[in-house]
Amino acid sequence: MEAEAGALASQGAGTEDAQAEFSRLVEAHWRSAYRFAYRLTGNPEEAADLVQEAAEEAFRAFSRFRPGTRFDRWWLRILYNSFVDRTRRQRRQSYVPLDDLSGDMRVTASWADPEAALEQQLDGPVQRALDALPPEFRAVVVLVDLEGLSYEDAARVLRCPPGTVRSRLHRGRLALREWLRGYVDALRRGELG
Amino acid sequence: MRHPQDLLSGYVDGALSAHEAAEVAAHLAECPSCRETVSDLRALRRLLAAVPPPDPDPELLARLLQVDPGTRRHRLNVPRWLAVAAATALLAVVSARVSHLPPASGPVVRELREHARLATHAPLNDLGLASFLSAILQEPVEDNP
Amino acid sequence: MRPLAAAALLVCLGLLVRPAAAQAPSFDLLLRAAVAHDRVAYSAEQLVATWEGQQPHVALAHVQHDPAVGTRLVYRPLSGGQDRQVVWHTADRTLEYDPHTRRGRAYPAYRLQVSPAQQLAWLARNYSVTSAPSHLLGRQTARLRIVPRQPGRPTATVHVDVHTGLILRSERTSADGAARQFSSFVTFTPRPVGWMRSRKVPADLQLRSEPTPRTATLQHLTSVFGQRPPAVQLPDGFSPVTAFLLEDRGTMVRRAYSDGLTTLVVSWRPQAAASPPAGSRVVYRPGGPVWVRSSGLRQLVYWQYAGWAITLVAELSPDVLLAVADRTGIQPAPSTLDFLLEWLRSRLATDSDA
Repeated sequence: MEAEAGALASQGAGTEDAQAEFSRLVEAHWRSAYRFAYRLTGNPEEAADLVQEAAEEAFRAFSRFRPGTRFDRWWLRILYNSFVDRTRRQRRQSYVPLDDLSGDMRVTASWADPEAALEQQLDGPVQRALDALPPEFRAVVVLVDLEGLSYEDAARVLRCPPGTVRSRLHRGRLALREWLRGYVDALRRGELG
Repeated sequence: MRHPQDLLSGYVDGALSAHEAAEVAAHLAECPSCRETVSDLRALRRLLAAVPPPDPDPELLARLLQVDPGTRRHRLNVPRWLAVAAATALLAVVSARVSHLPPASGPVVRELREHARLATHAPLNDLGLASFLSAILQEPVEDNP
Repeated sequence: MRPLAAAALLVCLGLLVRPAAAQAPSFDLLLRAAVAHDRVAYSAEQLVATWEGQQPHVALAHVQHDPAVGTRLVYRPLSGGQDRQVVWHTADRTLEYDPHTRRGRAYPAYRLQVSPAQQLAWLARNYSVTSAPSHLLGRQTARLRIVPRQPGRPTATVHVDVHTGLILRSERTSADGAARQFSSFVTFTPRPVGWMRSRKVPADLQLRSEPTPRTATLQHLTSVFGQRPPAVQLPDGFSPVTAFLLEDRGTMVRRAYSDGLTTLVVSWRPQAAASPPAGSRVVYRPGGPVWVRSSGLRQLVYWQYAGWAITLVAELSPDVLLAVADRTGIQPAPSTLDFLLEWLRSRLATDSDA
């Protein structure tokens, strides 16, 4: 096995050190990559495939990664680019236009205790609402509101100005607010009383 | 000032300059609808922050690294990203000379596909290869079943 | 860099396999290999490569297999810029779909009439098998070389994992050495049976469902079509593995045969409803024209006889299949004069080549 890795390494597939370093970075950041991929794709299998693909792309481009800089942000950008390439080829349009805030997507919270609702069954309705957003809006909301990135970090991942991050975030949030109206109202009532 | 639109999100996130924040605050003092929006945005932010993170299958990490999680790291296998890099390089060599046959017609594709499906059941047949032949043959534009 | 990397890969794949002295063949091992999929669960990355029409098709497949559930394969094509495909085999049907568009096909699983053991008995008759111990992916394997006793058949090499019985690598080469199929596990991880139980087929797929073929007797076929499909004189050693299948909304008949290693599929269509396949070349035999189309290891031949259009697909050389057409009977081409002229021309060309 060592002979194999060495032989491949010496032929330009990356030095052994680079491979070891890459493995270490992948292991350190795979969870955040998976979370982002899961929120983008909406299902675990595709998310795993997307992470795998992003790892392959990242390895190919690893010589361009500057050591000491944030690997997770760099990897998330590669992952997002892979995702965009895939969705460009998608022939079936599945998003609701942001201006069409019709009632289909509304999810109502019917339980008395919004906190319990938050913990137990939030993932499904929120993911469905995210799935309905066009990808560039979804990505911004996921990065800022679910992953907690700053506007600047999100802008680096998505390769756009922070101003664009803010405007996409705002429009995405307004759409989500409608689709998750029941939850939002329940939360506000809890806050107020 | 007119309704601040996406500055409201910036305001809620604390991502505005002092000057911008002051302007938004002044507007909010006089605009109930924007105040509503701000409250909604705060609730939504709290909602989204409370969503539990998805749990990845630990098998994914094993796939990424080709190690068993939790044990001493020893590589029995080549990580996939390494295999892909090497295989792509191999392909570049192999496909140096490519001659093109005319594309297969619908009936030919169907016959070949059926053969691949039936060949799956030969005792020493490789499922990965047979499914590859069945699934990736070019689909003709008018595919009449 | 690339040629060196390619050479390195070949060296590495070769390094992974270390042959030792030859031993007597073990049909026990072949039988274990034939049933291993029903016993063993695993996940793996598999490299598959085939040359179709002289163009290589290579893909990396992520394979997840559980005898209790089925097999899920995700293909990442490395050639031709194609999109990924997912294939899901379960007990009663197979799905093939594009994971991004969510579109694809579903078709029912075929039920073979013949057990793996019976097919291996045919294999022993038609091929000679030698075995030698080797190593692959750090596992102990047996390398089996399967060589045909008759011309025109492919040669195969398989590496069987001694512990699980699974085939970790297989390679098949046509008789003339020009066409090749190759598949190899690049990584392999055994799993406990039942590990995929919580895995569900996605619910949002848009699949075109292909109908289940109906089995039919010759009498039934004769009454449906008004005439009996002619018996095709197959090469030595082939026996049927399915019944006659009535397919394509009852407009054609199909049957599969096997010599233990390779599969041969015959389909019959009423002549009026069929035409020669596009992109094929025509070969003039003494009895009449036969159309031939190559697709890597497989050859497709088409000809007309007794009011039927007959298509054969097999991993056999064109010569063997043309001989099948000769023995079965070929309808002469419509214009006898054109046929004679073409035939003379092709004979002259062959003589000048010799």
